[in-house]
Amino acid sequence: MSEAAIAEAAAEAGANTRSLAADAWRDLRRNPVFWVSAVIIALLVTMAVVPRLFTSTDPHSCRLRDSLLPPSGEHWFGTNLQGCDIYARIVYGSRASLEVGFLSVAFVAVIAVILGMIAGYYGGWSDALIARVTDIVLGIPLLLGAIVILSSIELPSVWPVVLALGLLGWTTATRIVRSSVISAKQQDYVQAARMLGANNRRIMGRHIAPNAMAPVIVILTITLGQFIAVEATLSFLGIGVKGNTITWGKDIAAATARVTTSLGPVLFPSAFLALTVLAFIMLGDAVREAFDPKLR
Amino acid sequence: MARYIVRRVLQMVLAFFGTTLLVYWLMFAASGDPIAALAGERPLSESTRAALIQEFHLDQPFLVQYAYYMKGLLTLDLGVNTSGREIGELVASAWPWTLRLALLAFVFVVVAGIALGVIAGTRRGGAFDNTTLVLTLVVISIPVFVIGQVLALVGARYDLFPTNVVGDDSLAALIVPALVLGSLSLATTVRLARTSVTENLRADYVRTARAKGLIHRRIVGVHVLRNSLIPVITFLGVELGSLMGGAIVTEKIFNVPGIGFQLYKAISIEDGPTVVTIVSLLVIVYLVMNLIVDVLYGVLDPRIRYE
Repeated sequence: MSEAAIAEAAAEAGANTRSLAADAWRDLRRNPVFWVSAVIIALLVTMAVVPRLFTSTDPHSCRLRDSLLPPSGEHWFGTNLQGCDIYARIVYGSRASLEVGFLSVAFVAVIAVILGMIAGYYGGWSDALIARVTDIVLGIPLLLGAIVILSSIELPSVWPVVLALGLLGWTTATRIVRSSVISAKQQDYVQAARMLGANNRRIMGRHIAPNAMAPVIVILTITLGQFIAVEATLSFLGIGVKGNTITWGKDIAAATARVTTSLGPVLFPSAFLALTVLAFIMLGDAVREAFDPKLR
Repeated sequence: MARYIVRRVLQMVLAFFGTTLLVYWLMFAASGDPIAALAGERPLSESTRAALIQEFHLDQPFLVQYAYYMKGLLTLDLGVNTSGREIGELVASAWPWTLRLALLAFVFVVVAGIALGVIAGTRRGGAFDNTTLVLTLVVISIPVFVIGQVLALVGARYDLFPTNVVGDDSLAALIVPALVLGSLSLATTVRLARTSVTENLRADYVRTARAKGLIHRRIVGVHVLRNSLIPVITFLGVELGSLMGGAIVTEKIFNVPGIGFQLYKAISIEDGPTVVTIVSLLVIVYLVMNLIVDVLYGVLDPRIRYE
């Protein structure tokens, strides 16, 4: 066979075999659940980054004269007890929720990838040590641990919540990275790379990491939704994001005192919160289905 | 089997000391002057202050303080909180409420969760199955405090059920709070049981049973159910521990004077010792439940023991 023919055959084979990611993307594109959740998340992210696109009302300018107005053309979702526009507060409150969600998941991802790769790739005593630490952190329920951490930090920003969620939430993701690294380690292409003289760092970075990341991405998407819910719960308990920052959880908590007389101030932020969590869970489910070869 | 239990117990002891040390350190690193908190408005004389520091071992290094704390915890002496009340007393009066609430929620989760999951799993793709899937997804996405708050609102406005449990000693008053507390676990249990049942229905032993001419009800009720409950039981065992910890939100909303309510109160008045003690106790409950489940799991499924 001439060299040209071999190259041609290889190109043909390449055209017919798609990578797992390409396959998954093809599946995802046809899944309406993926598009619905992606559009919701895109809208929410835009809302968090440029709230002015969605409302020109200042969420902090409240007139007591307008207290507890029902929904109208001027105030789409009505006003709360202080006379603030609920819609504007929801728009501006999305930033805290998404910031907490994305930052703490990024934190978790960094811890999980580093620890999971070390434990899975090197094994031995580092694996045993990481497993014991994971056991210990797993013994602390997320909400309770976050309560202990946050009841002592008085910093008016999202960072304490991010720190608490990151420090307590990395265990599941780490275990998943570890097990997928272990299964990727035994693949032929890793052996081939090692025989070609690649060092550990190159093998881990170029060969194992890209192939072991799919399951952890799925889990992190779902975790993002859960973290947003936990942040709102912590804010509801009065120990979440402190200071003047508008958050959905704080607004819901503030409105509950008046809950028997007016529904709106509780229902509208709650609906947005639930929709956000739902969007991330659905996205995670859609991605999981796309990556799971058993379901094809 | 004995070796497996010993190994799990040793792991739990390690996790127990690790978690309590972590919780204790978090609170130790963050708390201000506990003597000032205990004294309140009254200025303390130097000698009283020195005596109190001596009494609470505040002049000792961190690890020694932790050792004293562990000694107290293990001999059921929980110490006093920042207002001088015995924490043990506080916990003893609150504990029955949380236990009742969590058990009620647990019964609800077990009965409704398994029943709905099995029905949905045996009719995969049908209307009931699809409705269950959508509804459970919605319940999973709505945070528990929102569900609780909305139910409390509806109940109070239309006078359907008591929304304030304090002073109402009947078990009936706890039913709605238990439903709220168990809602998330219920949704997860339904989904887990459904997946497990559908997978087992395709197993070879089901085909064999059908070929032998067994009736459908017996195949599902005996053969499939027994095999598909293993993952569900694991989840449920861990869940009983988390239900007690998760009760903080539900107890706050419905004014149930349980552990979570006390924890919430302690957080809002910045009563560090009570927070740490209650969290440690809940962590212990959680760890013990996990241990029991793991051992039971080893009994149910021999493959686990020889891992």
